[in-house]
Amino acid sequence: MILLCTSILALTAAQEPDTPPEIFTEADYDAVAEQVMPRDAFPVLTLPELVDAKTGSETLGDEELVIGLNLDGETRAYPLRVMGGVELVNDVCGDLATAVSW
Amino acid sequence: MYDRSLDGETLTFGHEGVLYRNSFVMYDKGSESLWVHVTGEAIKGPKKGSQLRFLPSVIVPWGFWRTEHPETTVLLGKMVEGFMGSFNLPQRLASYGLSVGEGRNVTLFRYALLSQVPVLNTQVGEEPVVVTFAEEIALGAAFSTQLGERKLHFDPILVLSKPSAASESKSELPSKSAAVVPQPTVSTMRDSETGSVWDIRNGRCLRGPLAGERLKPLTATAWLGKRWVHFFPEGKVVGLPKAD
Repeated sequence: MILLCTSILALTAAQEPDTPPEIFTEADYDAVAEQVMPRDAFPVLTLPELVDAKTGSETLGDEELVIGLNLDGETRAYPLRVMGGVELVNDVCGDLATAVSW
Repeated sequence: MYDRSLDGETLTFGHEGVLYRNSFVMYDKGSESLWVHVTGEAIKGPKKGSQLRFLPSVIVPWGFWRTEHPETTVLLGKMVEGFMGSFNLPQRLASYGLSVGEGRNVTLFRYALLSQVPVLNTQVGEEPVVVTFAEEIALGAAFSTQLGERKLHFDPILVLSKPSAASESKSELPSKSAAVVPQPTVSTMRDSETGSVWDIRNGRCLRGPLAGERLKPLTATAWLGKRWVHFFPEGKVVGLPKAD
């Protein structure tokens, strides 16, 4: 019986797939990260100019998706199609310094 | 969406130019540590192991956002074409989910399920939560059901409403919007303990004994399901058995 159990355990272990690599670790980063462009080649915004809702609506259709942030009563929107070309904004909303990434 | 203050220091991030597991990498200009933008965690450098604090945010159509928050400011800039930035309800229902939780301790509730169960009483980790879904704008949210000493249970309130004129004019919205029969929609829920009525989109109590109260929102972000699974292979997925 013990032999049978051991055999089953051995068989189970043999059939297990390779353990997937642990991601979001420095070792995994070093193994697979790829420098695809120079640092800062991609535009990042810091404390960008903003407009009010009325002005925004002259450009944005109602169906346009936005990331909405509501912090201590201060509200701000980041259209996805703008973030698609920026990816990262260093901003301040209310009393908080924020990093908006997409 | 993160608070970029860390231990009394305000970090300013730049773009490292690196692609790591289909995600771009940020660096902070002070220590030049590298940060994964998906988790907000420093992966390499002097700040390795540090975690930025998540800030709650939503992804909604601009028309909804400006109506809810007429005082909002908005970032304008070059609009990327051909990008999934315009509201397409069938596509979002089929492909997206709501990721609830922070860091790597997250659960994905697929929109395909939430559109069937728009008020879902459940648990994330140790916390009792209600996950809600306003289908017409594909807005998912999650709230703690603990309110002071009370633990609340919620049921959806169905109302029959005619499709809006705006919905009818948009061909990309679901075909059922074009139907002439009223459609059942859910925008409020009722707690079993007091009978109070709550807005499912923001967790505010509209009327009843708890009017004026607000449920604590949990960090919840809309994710393209296949991307989420790639980033969080050990995360829990809650969805329809057949579709998932």
